[in-house]
Amino acid sequence: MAGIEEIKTEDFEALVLKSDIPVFVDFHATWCGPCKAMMPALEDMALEYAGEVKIVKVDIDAEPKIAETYNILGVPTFIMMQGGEAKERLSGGMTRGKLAAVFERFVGGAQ
Amino acid sequence: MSQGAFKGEIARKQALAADIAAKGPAYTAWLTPDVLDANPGQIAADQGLHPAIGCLLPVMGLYAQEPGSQAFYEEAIAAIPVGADEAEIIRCWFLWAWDHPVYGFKTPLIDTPLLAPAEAIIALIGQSRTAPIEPRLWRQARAALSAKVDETGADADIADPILSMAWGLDRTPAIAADVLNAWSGPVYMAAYRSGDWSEEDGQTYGAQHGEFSRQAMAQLGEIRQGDPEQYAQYKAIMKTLWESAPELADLYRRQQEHDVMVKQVVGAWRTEVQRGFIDCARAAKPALAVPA
Repeated sequence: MAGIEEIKTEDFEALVLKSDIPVFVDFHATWCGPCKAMMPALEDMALEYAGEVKIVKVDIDAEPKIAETYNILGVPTFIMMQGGEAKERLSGGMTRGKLAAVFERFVGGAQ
Repeated sequence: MSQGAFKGEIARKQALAADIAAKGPAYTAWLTPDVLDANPGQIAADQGLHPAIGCLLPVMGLYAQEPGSQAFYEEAIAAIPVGADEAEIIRCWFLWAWDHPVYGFKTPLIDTPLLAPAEAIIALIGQSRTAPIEPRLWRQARAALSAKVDETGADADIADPILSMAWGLDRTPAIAADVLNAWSGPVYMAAYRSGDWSEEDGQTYGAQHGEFSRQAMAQLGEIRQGDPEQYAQYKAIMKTLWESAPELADLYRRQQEHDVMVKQVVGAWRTEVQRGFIDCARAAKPALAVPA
């Protein structure tokens, strides 16, 4: 998984809430086919927005506390976090175009 | 000089065509649901095809799940000339989709502020037919269109196919499938919302369907994902449950009719997009230079 870290509850504060850059959190489950199908798109986004938006994954079964905190009722659910706050929430499969539209709202514009 | 499609070897094309006709290992790995657990771009590359074609064709043929899927795959492979510039086939198809008189991406953007930034992306695709485009230019073009969507509050779905086109094909080949997926959503929704089927009907049907579905799955026991036999059993149980509730007969009948109509509308669109791909493939010129 190029540039995409699977994170645990104890790392969430340091890696997500206190991140200097926006963090796109992928709430997924190992049994979820659509979550798996999203991985290539997320890998492309990690490459395209490297250093501007961090992408991390949270397994809702392994890390139920985070899932409960963010009221994750289905997977895949994605939350864009910025400054420790959930700024935008999406669910289901998405194209690279739609992901880019979301990411562009949280970065300083194309270089 | 690039070797182009099938690495310039007629034998590769013939072998792939024979494999597809026989539903052989390449067909199964690439063009059926098996590909969902694999990398379609790499599988296609192994057959001497561009990864973008590898990502697009399974989606365009509905993963071999429709009666016409195999015929489409056979025709598509036959249409790609040996040694052709395959990225050009995809670019041709993008531009064809933009301008299509019925389903074109351009149509809902006419007379809106989204048209200019969308046309800037189309211009880049046009330029990419003769010269590589710097990644930052794709990104700038995407940023401009997404900003305009946010600024105007426009429906993000009408911009999605165009935003999905605005990437370098060699670096991000899976965009070909994204464009098709982004295109299918609005086509499906337009069909779904048409005819004598209200939002309330949809909600009532959905709630009842969910309840029956839970009952059907309880009867089936352990669920085996992707098992066609069990899925047929599931459908039979669902039909029995619906038919056992006479008070729901009218809703069920109208839903079935609506479902048939939606499938016809979406099917007509899919046939057209397949035809567009095949036309672009047949028109493809030989690859003369290695794309950047």
